[in-house]
Amino acid sequence: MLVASATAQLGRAILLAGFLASFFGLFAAAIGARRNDPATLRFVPRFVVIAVAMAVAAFAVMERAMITRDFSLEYVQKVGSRSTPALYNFAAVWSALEGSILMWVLILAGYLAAAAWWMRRRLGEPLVAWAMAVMFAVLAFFFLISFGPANPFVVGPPGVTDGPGPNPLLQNHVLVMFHPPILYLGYVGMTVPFAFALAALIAGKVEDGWLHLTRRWTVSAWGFLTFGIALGGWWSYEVLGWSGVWAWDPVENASLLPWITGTAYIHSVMVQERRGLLRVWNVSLLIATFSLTILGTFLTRSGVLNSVHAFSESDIGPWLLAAFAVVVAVSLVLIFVRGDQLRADGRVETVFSREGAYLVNNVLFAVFAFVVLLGTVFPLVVEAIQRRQIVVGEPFFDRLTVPIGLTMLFIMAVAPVLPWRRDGRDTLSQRLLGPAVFGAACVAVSLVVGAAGIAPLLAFGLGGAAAGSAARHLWRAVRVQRLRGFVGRANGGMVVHLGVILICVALAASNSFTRSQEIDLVEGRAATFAGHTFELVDIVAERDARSQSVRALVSIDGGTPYAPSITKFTRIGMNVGTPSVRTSLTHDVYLTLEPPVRQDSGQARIKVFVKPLILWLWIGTFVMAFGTLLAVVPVRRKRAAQPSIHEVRDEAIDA
Amino acid sequence: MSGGARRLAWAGLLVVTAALLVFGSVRDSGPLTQQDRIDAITKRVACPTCDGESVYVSRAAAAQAIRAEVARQVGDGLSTDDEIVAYIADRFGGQVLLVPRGSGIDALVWVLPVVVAVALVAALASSFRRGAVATGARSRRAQLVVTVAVVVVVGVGGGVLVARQAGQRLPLQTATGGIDDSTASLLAQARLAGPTDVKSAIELYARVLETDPDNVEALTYRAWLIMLSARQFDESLRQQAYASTITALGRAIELEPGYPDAMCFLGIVVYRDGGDAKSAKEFLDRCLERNPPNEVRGMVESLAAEAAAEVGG
Amino acid sequence: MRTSRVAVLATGVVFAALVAVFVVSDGDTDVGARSPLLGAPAPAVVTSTVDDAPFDLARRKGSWVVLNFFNSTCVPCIAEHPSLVDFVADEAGRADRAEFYTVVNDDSDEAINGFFAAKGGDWPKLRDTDGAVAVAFGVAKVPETWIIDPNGFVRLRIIGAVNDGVLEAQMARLRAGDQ
Repeated sequence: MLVASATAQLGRAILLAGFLASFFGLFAAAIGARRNDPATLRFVPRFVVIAVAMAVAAFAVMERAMITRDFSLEYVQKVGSRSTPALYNFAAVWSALEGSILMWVLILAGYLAAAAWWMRRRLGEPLVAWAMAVMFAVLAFFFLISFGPANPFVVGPPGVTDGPGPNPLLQNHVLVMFHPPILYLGYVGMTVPFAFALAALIAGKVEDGWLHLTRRWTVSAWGFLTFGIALGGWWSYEVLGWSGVWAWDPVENASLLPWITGTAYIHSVMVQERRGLLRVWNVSLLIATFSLTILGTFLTRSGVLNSVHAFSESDIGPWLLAAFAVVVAVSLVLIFVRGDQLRADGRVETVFSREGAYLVNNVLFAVFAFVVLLGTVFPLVVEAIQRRQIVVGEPFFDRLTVPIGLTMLFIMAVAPVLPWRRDGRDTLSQRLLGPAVFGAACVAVSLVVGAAGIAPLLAFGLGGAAAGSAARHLWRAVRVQRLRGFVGRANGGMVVHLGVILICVALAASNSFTRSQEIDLVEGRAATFAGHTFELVDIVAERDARSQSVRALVSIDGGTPYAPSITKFTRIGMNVGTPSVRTSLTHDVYLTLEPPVRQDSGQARIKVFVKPLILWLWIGTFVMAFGTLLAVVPVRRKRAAQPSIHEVRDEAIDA
Repeated sequence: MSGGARRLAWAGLLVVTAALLVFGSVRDSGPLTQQDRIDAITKRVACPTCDGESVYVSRAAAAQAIRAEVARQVGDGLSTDDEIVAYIADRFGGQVLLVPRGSGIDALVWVLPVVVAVALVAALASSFRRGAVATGARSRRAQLVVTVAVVVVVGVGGGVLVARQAGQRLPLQTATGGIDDSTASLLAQARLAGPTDVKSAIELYARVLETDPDNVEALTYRAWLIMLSARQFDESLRQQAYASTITALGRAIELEPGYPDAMCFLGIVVYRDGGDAKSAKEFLDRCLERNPPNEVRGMVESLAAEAAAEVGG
Repeated sequence: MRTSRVAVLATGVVFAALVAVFVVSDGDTDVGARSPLLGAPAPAVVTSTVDDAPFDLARRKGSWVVLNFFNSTCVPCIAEHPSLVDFVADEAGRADRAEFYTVVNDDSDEAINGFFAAKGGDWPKLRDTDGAVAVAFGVAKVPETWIIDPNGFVRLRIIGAVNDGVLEAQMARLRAGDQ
């Protein structure tokens, strides 16, 4: 008992030390920046080291307790179990509230250390010092809630020797190891550009040097966020058994909101880099992105909206809400006060230029973010006003985001061929003809294959045109620069666009043309649906320490059997269905086993989904990830720190 | 490509694409299977224990039960999609309707995005206009007023259109909760009228029998109430009532042998009005075997003892 | 005032309203005992008991009927079971005793029989194989207890485990109100 409570005490002490280090680091950085005092600022790296060490140590103590099945801790009692396999046990740390906050602390501390290391020779500059201060403040906040309301080191009731383990849905698939950490790398990573944006406002250094500093950070964090969201969709597809990838669940929306504003930012910032325009937009987008990560955490952790992720209610809600309020209030005040300094001398002349397209893009994404945010919080608004409960679900989001998505594809087709600064209508009609023909061809091909419906057809056509535009850009770059034509922000960005187009097309196809059917299979008799035959080969029951499962072996078109199953987790009394999927380039055949199943009956009821083009969602994701990598690779030719005031020819490749 | 040729190419392309799109959008993509209907309905209903997931998505037990019910009703083919959704909303409450309503405060969720979109586009357009033309203060203010007016009209109008088209058309409360003509409702009203207003009760049971002549509850209770009210009349009417009651009760027993009330009333009537203690005792014993509800049991138990005494004694 | 300042102020107002909404939200998802069925005729229930005897709710008019939706692995169901046993024993002494039925929610006959054999309670248990009865009543989560009067009207819905004495008190209240 003495050893066990020592773990709890040790953990809490470490968290306290981390909080203090961040707190003092905040003061050191802020005071040093304000007074421009290098002596004070020399403390900053030391506090960084201590804070990071404490974050790593706290996480290590938690993992150790989980791995050694130390059931003296209440958290281990909640999510740990002797019968959970090692891999899922390791991931169990972040399967519930307190552990996931601890992971947030760890990743944030890691980013702080990376930022401090990367800026190590410039820590004396006010901009960097203020950025460190902001990051310390955020880290201190998370240390504080980890020490206080979301404490993972609470000592649980004595005498417990085993626990139920994490939610069975989280023990089904290895993706659970990757999805939350990668998502957090994106989510938390948005803190760094936010810190620099706020620092620029505080220090009054609102020229564009800081932008260039943080560009790769933002794009990388955005890349992680994109990949993490896609992995979540993949997990949903493989595990949850309804054959979909996105349910407009409040937690999913919470991760999508910062992605939307982040995407708007990484486009809009190009205008600022080239011509120093749209500064207020960009600062606002960055602040919105970070605020939305806090708001999203509040929505999902506080219990005001429950969801699939179902972290239970806790006291953490008011803290997160207060943090959100403080962040937005401080930012609004700063923009109000310093806003005039932000305004540039030039202006966007015409909407038919590249700048104009980016501006329209900002508006589009702002509407997108508004729709998602409104739909997510509207039930709360109605409840607050009329004391009545409603739900806003998929039908609302689908109806409103389809036109937004189509407009997005349209802009993706048009913008890359628009010139900077000039009215591009003439050049448009010349350069866009090829991609437009390709788009029309895509519509024709899809009609031949059997597609119908205005929305998917528009998606295919616009997607084709957008792909044509991106391909045209890449081809011209490669023609001039050979393989280097794939590298760098603009070119990598075009590759990312291709990935986005693949995803949009795949979503349009699978949302519109999925067919499904429940089939009663009898052993020995084949059934047909949608051009495939299904035959029940066998029904197999298995049992191990933590579960019993029944699997139906179904042979599709006479090939090797696929085995959808139902697993009963005996400790918790929860039934989990696991689908089985046959993938191909054209469509997936997705099988689930429907309860009730009797093992010896020779009969099973399965549900078959035939989903077109699903594989292209994942291919598109990897193309996006690859494109992001290409975009952050540094190019030998160094850009000038000042934005170019000369008109740049369209063929010149942005590095 | 020269300018003229290019214009021609674009025109041709747009015509061809428009034709393809029109063709594709009116094309029939095949008949709607039952499963398609089930999926469409379950996507409109929220799982009551999941806070926002649709029944289509959720794997919870409640969602599976609702899916089974929807499948049953779709299979029966008697109800429309809206009726099935209303059935579920009647039981679980209006908060399982996943599509926000198209009117009332809920419609805000449709209207606001359109208003915001229109407002932002208008702001964008006016900022471009302002830059292009140098204008004085007064005309700028006029421009502002015009812009705001356009935003309000187009935004709100467009939003309301979207809400009407996309929003839930079912009213908040679809439960009829009262006077309708269904058999269950008539039976309920008849029962409520029962002991105090025998005449109305008999009429209501008769109405049930018009549409459903084999309804055992209506047969039994109408016969019973007729017998009750006939006791105050003269002999011949009583005998007529007795005969018809026995017939009706006999028919009810034939239709549903396990129905306790019919057997019990038969025993009571045979004893009280027919004077046949022996048969009555038999009927009453069988009645008690069938586990009658308490009200009927209460009438029967003392009577059964009396009849037994008479037979035995 | 400059446009951007107006925009900032407008944003501030909207955001303050948003925070106010969140502060007011209590995250309370308890629906209480509301139901559109209260005061309406009970839905039809035609099923069989786990002993394969037929059951029809409409044929029980004339008695108070108590339906308890139950699952043998649900923790609050297990917790409330002794209170239910007490209630049934209490009612057994009355002439107008309430008929008590368990509606099995997503559970097997064997599990149910095993549970009741171990924990007592010999009233009829009704099968609800694909949840039709649960859907008809709007029951999403167990346990739930429903009271139906002798005329077949739904009178009371209790969501969650019933504590000791609650059912007895409610029955007394309903009976008194029914004079």
